[in-house]
Amino acid sequence: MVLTDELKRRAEKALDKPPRYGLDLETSEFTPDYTGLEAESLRDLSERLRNIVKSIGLDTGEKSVLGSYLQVDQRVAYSRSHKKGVKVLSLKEALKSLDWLRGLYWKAVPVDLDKFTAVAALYEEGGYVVVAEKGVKTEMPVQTCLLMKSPRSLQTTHNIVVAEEGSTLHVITGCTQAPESFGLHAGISEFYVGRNATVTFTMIHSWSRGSHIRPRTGVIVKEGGRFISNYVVLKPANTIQAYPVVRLIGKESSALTTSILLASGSSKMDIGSCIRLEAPQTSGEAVSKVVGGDSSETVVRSRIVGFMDGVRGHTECNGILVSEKAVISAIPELVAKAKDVELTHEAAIGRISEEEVFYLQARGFTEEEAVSMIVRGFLESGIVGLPKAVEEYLKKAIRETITAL
Amino acid sequence: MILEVRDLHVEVSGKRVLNGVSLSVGYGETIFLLGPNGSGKTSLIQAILGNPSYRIVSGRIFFRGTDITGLEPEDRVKLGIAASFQMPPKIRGLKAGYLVEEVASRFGVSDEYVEKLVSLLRLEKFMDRELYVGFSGGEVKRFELLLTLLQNPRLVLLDEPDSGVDVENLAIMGEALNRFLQGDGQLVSTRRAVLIITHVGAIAKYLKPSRAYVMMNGEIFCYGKGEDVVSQILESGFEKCKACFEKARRRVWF
Ligand SMILES: Nc1ncnc2c1ncn2[C@@H]1O[C@H](COP(=O)(O)OP(=O)(O)OP(=O)(O)O)[C@@H](O)[C@H]1O
Ligand SMILES: [Mg+2]
Repeated sequence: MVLTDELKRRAEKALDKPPRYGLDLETSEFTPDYTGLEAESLRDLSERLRNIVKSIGLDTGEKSVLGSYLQVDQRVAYSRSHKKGVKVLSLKEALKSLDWLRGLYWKAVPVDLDKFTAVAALYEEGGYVVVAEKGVKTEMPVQTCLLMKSPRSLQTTHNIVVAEEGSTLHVITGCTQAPESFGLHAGISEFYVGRNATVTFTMIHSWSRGSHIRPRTGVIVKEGGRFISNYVVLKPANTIQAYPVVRLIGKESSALTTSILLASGSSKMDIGSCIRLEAPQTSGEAVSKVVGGDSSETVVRSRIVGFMDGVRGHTECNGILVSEKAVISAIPELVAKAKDVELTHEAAIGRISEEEVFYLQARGFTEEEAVSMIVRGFLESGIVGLPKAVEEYLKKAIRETITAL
Repeated sequence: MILEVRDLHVEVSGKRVLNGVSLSVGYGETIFLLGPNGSGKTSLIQAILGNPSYRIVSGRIFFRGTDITGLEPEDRVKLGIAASFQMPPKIRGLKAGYLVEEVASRFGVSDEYVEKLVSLLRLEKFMDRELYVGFSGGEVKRFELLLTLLQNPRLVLLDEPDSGVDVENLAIMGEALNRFLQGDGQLVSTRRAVLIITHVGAIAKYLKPSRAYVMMNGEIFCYGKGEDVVSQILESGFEKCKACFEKARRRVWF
């Protein structure tokens, strides 16, 4: 156990603390499974696992990535970097070999935020640490994958991403699970974006219907740094609740968080983000695109807080309903704590445009085909700020999910 | 007849827009449809396509002898009807080039033909754009014509293809249409027909109308030899037409 006594004490006290948003759960109903595997390369995985990992677009040949991390249930199966200046380590390795990492450990996410951070701490085992060293700029992404395999299991993970001064880093995380698996995923992710560094973080979720997902994410951005996240849920779990908090603490830093959600089945999602404009000339934008299908219920929150004169923030939520029974709620929140701030929001939720559907029918497509084409375009148009390869990866994942619907 | 519309009455959100329209298009014909703004021309085309917003109250539509009044839009399209929209919607995130490929493959059009048509219509650089997002008025018209011809239709419906198009681009569009009507593309020269809505008549320089219909207040009240009707209306507007119509009406009723 690498947790300090102090963190442990705080976590234990929070074990029953309900989450602020989303459905509460009894965490003790899920048990961690440590029987996972270790692999020498991603190609060593069983064909079945390899196919699951591939289905969310990960590159098992590692040709198009700088490095990879794979966690199966609670076990770290693989972690490696193929690029000098970029580290990809498991949390345990990293805490041993990087003495400074202790100083960041549990600093962007409070360990006693709620019962989910508490279990993630108390059952802390796996997790990745990705570090881009000072001035190292890369185009290709690092890929990480969190896979749940055993039924009724608890998967925790604690990830830390550090972009040192002047670096550029792209991280893709795919979260998925074997079809028979259902469980609770409590994942901590901490991002530290250094001076004039850029991090793009792309997370694709493709869960099975039985699972409950509770990621907890904190981001700290220094002067001139930029953080871009794309949170993409293509196959929603039973319930997901996420609310990353981005703190722009250095002047002229900026953040763009995008949520792209394809809600289906009877899933209940409560997804938002909070951007805190704590330094002068910072700017933040929170965008969500939601497609509400079947009897899904989706809440999209976005909160932007301006603490300083001269900061700018914008939130935007676009939703389309493709089913009579689906519900989408958009809850934008703008908080100004200084006189000279500019905070705006836009939201539009409605049925899919009949005019667009008919137009495509008149071009020879069936109604279902027309709807998928429009939905796909709607979701894809939300993807911005990513390198070409990552953008293609996301678009491919969206395309494949929608054709499979 | 390739198309026959019989006594069609149509409503849009409870408002009557067509009041008993009858019209026919024969094989090989080029028909012009004229009429003032709001007279129901677009409504007629949309009703022929099966747009559910245009509710058919009564009347029938026949395509090559088959009653298509109740068919789904995509089934009408399969039979060989294709239309260029007056104001097609923008579809965000939908790549124009992707739509071109999908339409071409669906209608069995070869890559060479697509390429030829795209280059003739000078649309190469639009393939990566989102459909109609930021297209200029004339660009929309050219792109609509491209998609329409890629459907390899027997009956082409063009809703104001010449509005807002400059002379040079109009010549290009005229050429594309003429090549198509002469049996260019995949189909061996089965006989086709065109119905064109126009206000300016500029397209007449490239496609000679065999007949023309004039519509007003959701009714057809005049038709005749194409060039006569078109030149009359371009010269003296719809007023004279109206007077003639009123006279005819009085003759019937009194
Ligand atoms: N959704 C709608 N709701 C109410 N009225 C409508 C609707 N759609 C069409 N109309 C009306 O129906 C009438 C006929 O419209 P249509 O578009 O067929 O005219 P048009 O002859 O094509 O005119 P233009 O030359 O201006 O294109 C117009 O008065 C129009 O305002
Ligand atoms: Mg019109």
